[in-house]
Amino acid sequence: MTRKGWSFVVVILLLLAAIVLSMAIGSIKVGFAELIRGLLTGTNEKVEVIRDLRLPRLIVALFVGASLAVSGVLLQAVMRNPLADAGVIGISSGAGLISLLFVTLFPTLFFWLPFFAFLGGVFACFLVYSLSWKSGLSPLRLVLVGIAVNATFTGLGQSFNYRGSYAVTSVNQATTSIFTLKTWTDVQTMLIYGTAGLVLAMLLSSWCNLLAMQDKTARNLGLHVHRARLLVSAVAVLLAAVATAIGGLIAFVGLLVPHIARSLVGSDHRTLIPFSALSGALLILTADTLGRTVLAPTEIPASIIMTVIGGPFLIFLLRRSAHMHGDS
Amino acid sequence: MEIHNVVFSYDKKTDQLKGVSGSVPKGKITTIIGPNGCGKSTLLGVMSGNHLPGGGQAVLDGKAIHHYKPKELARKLAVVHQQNGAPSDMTVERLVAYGRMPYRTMFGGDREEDERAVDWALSCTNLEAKRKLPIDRLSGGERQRVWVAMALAQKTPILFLDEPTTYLDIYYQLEMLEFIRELNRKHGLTIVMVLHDINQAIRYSDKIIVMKDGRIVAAGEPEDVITERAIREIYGVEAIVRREPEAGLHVILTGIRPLVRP
Repeated sequence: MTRKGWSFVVVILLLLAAIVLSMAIGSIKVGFAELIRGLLTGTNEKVEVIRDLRLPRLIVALFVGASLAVSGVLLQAVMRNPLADAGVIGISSGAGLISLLFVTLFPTLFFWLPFFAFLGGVFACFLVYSLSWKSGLSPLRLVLVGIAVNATFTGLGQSFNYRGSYAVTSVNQATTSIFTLKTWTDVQTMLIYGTAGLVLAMLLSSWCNLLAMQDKTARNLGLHVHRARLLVSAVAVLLAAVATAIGGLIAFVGLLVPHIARSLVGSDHRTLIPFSALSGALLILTADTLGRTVLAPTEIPASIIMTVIGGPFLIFLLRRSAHMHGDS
Repeated sequence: MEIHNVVFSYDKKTDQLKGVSGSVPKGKITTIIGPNGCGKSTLLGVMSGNHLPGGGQAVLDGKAIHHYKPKELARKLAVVHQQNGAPSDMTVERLVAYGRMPYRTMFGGDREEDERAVDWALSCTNLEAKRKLPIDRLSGGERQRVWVAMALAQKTPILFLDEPTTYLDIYYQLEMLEFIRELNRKHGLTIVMVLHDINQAIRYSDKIIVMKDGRIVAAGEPEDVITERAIREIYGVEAIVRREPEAGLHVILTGIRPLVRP
């Protein structure tokens, strides 16, 4: 089998293992057989608790990871920049800020939260694009503008949060990521928007391949470049926004996962996108499971674990990209 | 293809093209030459639908280029750009297959036809043996041929090439030009290219378009266009234009006019 095939097999096996482990580990412990039987019959009380508390959290973690990773892949294709990531260039924090405002003002319209997060993400994405566009996107300029936009939104979010922290508990959820207390309502929201985004991303994969080349090359191959760029960006923002609205701000997933995925399965988006989705799901689930078991009963949020891993990795990436000339 | 009074500007201040009119004969090789910054590549960009003209239009088969849908245009006209970028793990085969993009539909399109076109493009460019290799393992000449093969896989009647010989040594330069001529003679492709070397332009073109300062200053058969006086006026270079038994019409550059007069 090829390296590509092996990579898929290994990631899928690891993901299955992580799912089983994550369900079994925690303050309530059950055996594997007991777990399966309980899930099927619904008679085991311990398994019922797991179903209510651990399973929604697990599903949300999987989808948040997949969404963030794929969002990164799409942004990198559109911006032709290996450093583009929803967390780094401010899309997540834009989405976070708007959903924070929204949750505070209309706490009852919870199902629409991802939609408003999406608007926030679109606004941030628009800012980054328009401020860094100078007859083309310079990679360095884009990252610098993105960092500035990110800092602005993060700052606004934090000041808002600081001021309002005494009142609304959901405010905290929207800015720092803890997957605790995820309910089946969250799962439903995440499933609907997340699945839509992931399916759209797959449908757009051949456009992503064309966008990875130069604009003029893509255009002369019959691609409507502006339309394609707009649509792919919109899907990327949707994925990042949903993930942020439900899972909170998690940086670096969209940076780490696509980079590793590319070195394992290559740059063809038809395989890169599904592989990144699987790996992203695996990464966040692992981070979340570690976070809630290592120092139990205290929890370390998955976002903090990701930041700790992601920071050094970004340095590594930047050092490597100094040797690269564009993408050829 | 006809060009009617095309005006184009990158920054809306200075015009790169100041009312260009001309025509490209069907089934012939047309070469655009001229000094740096004269608007050669810009004109090619307008003609290939990459630049939207600020005024005037380029017309192909009775329809303005910028009114074509991108896919429709990509089935009529293929372009080999001067600089190309693709992920380095891209294989020759996969890149050439991108040339079939204009024929893709929602339901996939005709796979057999696609395969035939890719095979044909690879055999034309002599790349069959390298089809599974990633492009960063190829030599400069081979890599340039891959981009040509991608354009050929589009199976268009018209092929544009923007300085196809840049970055190549003289062997590969001639190989590329001979190959372009063969495409024209054998398969009847209409070719438009931008070249820097006047002798190569004379040798491989049916028609030469000379540009200077965003205007076409001369156009016609090489013999009529390339004269000692023309070269002096266009490039500011002294030259002897001679007809030689082996090489045909030939330009020998003898020097530039001294900037400081004695």
